[in-house]
Amino acid sequence: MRVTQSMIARNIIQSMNQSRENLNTLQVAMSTGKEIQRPSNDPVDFTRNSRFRTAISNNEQYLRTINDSEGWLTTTTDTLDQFYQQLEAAKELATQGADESNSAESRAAMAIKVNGIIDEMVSLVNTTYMDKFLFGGTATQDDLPFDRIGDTISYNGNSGNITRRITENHSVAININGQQLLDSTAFTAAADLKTALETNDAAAVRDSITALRSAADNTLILLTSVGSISNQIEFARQRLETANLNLTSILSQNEDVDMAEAITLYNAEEISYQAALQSASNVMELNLMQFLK
Amino acid sequence: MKLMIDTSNYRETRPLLDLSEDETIPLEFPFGIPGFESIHAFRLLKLIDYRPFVLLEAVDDSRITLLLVNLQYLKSRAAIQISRVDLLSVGCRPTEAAEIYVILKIDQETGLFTANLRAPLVINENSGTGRQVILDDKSLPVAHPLILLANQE
Repeated sequence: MRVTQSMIARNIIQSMNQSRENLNTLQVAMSTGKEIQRPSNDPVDFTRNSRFRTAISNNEQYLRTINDSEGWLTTTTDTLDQFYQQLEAAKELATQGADESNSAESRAAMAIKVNGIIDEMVSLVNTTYMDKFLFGGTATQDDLPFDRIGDTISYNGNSGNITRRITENHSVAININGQQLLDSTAFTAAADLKTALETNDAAAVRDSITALRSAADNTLILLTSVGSISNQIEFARQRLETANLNLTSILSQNEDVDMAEAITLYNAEEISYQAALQSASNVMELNLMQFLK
Repeated sequence: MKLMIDTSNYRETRPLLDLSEDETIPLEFPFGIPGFESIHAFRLLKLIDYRPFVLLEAVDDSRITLLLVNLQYLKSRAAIQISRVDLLSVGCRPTEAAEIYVILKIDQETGLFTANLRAPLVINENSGTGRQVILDDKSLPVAHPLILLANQE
């Protein structure tokens, strides 16, 4: 029998289609074939796989907690950063006010600006996230944590920690409480500057520069502490996400078609399909060259 | 300092079929792997029938088995960088080679294998130590379609 070009082409196409069909059949089996659907099928495996699924579900709960905590911590960081900027602005005014050339009137004008800074600082420490006060300790939904009466700042919250469980064995406190802010001496230093400017006391204004610098440093320490918590949470997130990927990988092997068979067929069919494609390519090139001649 | 794994600290690509018999390599994962932190004893099974795939199996529980492929067979390996610290953590000296494996899973929608490029396994077969490292590069996919180099040549 004479073997024509069309017969060669037909055989190649049939070979390709058969390879593709085998590959598709395998892929469908791999995507749909679950060995374990009923507990009676293999009780030991079913129990074990249930345990893996429970672990995945628990990890997802921890990840949701982490997402919420990250929002809280980001808002805390932004707020403390603005609080720090207010202290820097007060320090700048103190440096200007310490100059002996200032008149009582100019210091009084600076005192009004410092008064505005204190208002802004109080407003910042009463910030909420999802309707909860960031700096009220565990009293997150009661009265405003901070009140200002004259130059006295009172704290109505507590020194409690808001803790979040971020992994099975690890909880972290995600809040900076108001007592820590009071202890930073930021409000005292700002109020002392205001008084010194109002009373035109240049020496006291100079002293307030040091006090404000110290308060700003203390605020930076709080910011660093928040950053450290954020890092712990990010680390936990990476571990949990990777854990779930690992668990899912194992489950996909335990629950799907026989992996050994799938791998063997996968390789064989891939290679076969590639070989058929290569043959077709060679024939096509040959025909095209002959045509051009 | 970051090192490119396919140059100074990575073995040259070997032929896909360079495996004359099954191999079992005992491995210690001092920190376990995420999800199985308490499991430290594993073994790497290089089976002729599975090549180029290999299995990482918990010694005390064979159902805890991950399907892996050596990174050298993947097209997308160049983007992955392993830090010197991570190499040192599995006992690799600067001039010593480490094997890098990626974990595979079957994509439920397509039925095809995908590879987690974000968290490869660094394995020092000489010291028998392994570790799963989570890379900082967030652009690395966790479910990258598996394309073996052999299929492109």
